[in-house]
Amino acid sequence: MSSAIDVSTLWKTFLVGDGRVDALRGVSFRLQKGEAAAIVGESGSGKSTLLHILGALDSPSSGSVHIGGFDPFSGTDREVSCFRNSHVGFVFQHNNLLQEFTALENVMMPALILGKKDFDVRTRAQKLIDRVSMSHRAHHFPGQLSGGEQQRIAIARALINDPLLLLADEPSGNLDSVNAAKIHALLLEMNKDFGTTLVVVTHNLSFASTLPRVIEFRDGIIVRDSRSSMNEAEWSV
Amino acid sequence: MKINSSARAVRLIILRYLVSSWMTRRTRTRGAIGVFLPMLGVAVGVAAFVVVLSIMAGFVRNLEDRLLAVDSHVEVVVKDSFGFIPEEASLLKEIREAHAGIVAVSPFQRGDAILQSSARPSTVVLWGIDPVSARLSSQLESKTRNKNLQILTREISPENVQPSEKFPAVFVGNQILFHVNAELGDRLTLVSVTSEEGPAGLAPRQFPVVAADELRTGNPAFDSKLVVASLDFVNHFFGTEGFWAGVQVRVRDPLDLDNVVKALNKKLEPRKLRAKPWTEANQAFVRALRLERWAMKFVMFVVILVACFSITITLVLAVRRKAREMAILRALGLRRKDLGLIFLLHGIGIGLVGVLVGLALSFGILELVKGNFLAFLTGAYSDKPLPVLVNWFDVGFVSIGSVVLAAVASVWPAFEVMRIDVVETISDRGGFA
Ligand SMILES: Nc1ncnc2c1ncn2[C@@H]1O[C@H](COP(=O)(O)OP(=O)(O)O)[C@@H](O)[C@H]1O
Ligand SMILES: [Mg+2]
Repeated sequence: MSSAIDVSTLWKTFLVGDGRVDALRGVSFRLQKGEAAAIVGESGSGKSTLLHILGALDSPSSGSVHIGGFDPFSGTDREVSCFRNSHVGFVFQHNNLLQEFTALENVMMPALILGKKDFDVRTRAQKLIDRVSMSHRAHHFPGQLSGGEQQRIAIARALINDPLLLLADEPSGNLDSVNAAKIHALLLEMNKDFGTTLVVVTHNLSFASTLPRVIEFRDGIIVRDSRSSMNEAEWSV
Repeated sequence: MKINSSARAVRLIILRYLVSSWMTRRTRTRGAIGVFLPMLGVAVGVAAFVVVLSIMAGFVRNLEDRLLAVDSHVEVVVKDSFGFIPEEASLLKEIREAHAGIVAVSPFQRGDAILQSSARPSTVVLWGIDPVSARLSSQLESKTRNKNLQILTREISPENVQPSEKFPAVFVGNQILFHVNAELGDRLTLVSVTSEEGPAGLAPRQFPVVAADELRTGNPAFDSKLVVASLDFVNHFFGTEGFWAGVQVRVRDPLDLDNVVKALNKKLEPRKLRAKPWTEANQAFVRALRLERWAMKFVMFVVILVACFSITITLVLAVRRKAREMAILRALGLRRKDLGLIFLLHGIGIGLVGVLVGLALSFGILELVKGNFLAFLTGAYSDKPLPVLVNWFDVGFVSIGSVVLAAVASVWPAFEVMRIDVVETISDRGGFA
């Protein structure tokens, strides 16, 4: 099976005033296609930075990153944007949605950006909204939805173009435990049902432990990379 | 790699942003981009521009009506002394093509004569015109009762003498008719002021004519002095066949004659002719009017400029408010360029809607003005509505100009939105470099 993510000796350095912050200091790991991994670690350990680089929102200072065998940082803005559009689905911590568009339109947006016809997109978007149990709110605007509902719509939107990667950065960070659990369950289902490679940053260790793989960060390096025993065989290289 | 074509999505986003700022309550949008105020600014600027300039143009037209009456904007005459211009079709063409602002030319003959009825005589200016071209070179036709200069080419039988023969038609100033105690349709006699040798010794030439129509300009200098006839008849009367006294020239803008006169004088120099503008007699007044018009245009320009400045402010604020959504759109796959385009087209959209609303507003106001609404309010022009003359060139200019200014006003916001740091914004660390 081919790797969805192949990261080796990844460094990311931010220059702040006179000083510098090394957010990532030589990170290497691989993720197979369809694998699901939790990224854990204390605040400031470089989790978000890694996720941004995996989604080509930010570029590495050094080291190599291949997503689906492809180096997204070699292209023009047009090519990188296109890469994000068709191969990556993002779910951020909060306020993911476009305020002037209904839930349904939000879900359709990445496909419209891809250039698909409105009609073809609508059916698929509707299905995804059903899938995240939001069909009764499809024509509501984000301002009319609760935080948990917004996150579910964001998950549906992240999947509309059937991406290679689903990247979620503390998707339940702003939610109560009940809603958080729903989001967690949903992410796992999506990973299983669609076979989308999932990388989710979370502070919720019990959720993390339900994922087949957990990668722990501290000060920009991976300090633990464990596969849960029941999945070990399945994912061994 | 397949290259995305995000044009449709961009268009959808712009339209939605333009529309949703009007229905903020329904969509419960916190961050809607304001449209109303800058749009209103552009609308008011455009409306003021069109209304004020249309009323001013109407005023100038009215004035032209009274001062000029049947005269033209420019007369081409012999340069140094009294004299005639030899009839020559190519001269008319030459004058017509001397400047782009010239819209019509028409030759004429002119001289003193006596108009006599059975009751009494009156000294008049006898004016010979070419009925076809004179229709366009002055407002003469509109000052007659039948509005038809072609009548001058006919011979007509008079109504006051029997049995009737036919005589050449002339138009007579209405105060002359009153003075000589004659009516329309009467036979009158034109008598020359110089005498010539005849069978009964020295005698003036006499020509019977018929008063076919009357002139009513409202200006006594014309109404009590002028008799109009066909060029051929008048030349025959004065014995000046083959000559013109001058050529009438009509221009597009009667306040903007300098260049036309310059061009004409330059071109006609070798022929020893010169151009005499109507403004020669009213120079200070015309200059004041022209200055006022420029001042008005400048003021209106500033109004529109301020409106466009408010587009800039609105959009720059909107960039800050919408920064997170813009960053999200980048994460969804829009290009930097697309974000810039959204704001650029949003500004242009505001300008476009503003211009349309402004035009609708101005034509509404002009209808009211024409309907004497303003007179009702101000008590001015109480007997007649304010004259209104819409200059479509100005309307087009201000419309296109406003949209262009709106586009220019949106350039800075467009660059601002392109400068958003996506990662910083999404991580809530600010996002402006
Ligand atoms: N643009 C930036 N400029 C300066 N420092 C940054 C920037 N982005 C991230 N950092 C720093 O890099 C480190 C890792 O940040 P981040 O990846 O957001 O951590 P996490 O998501 O694990 O909390 C932190 O110390 C943070 O302050
Ligand atoms: Mg983080």
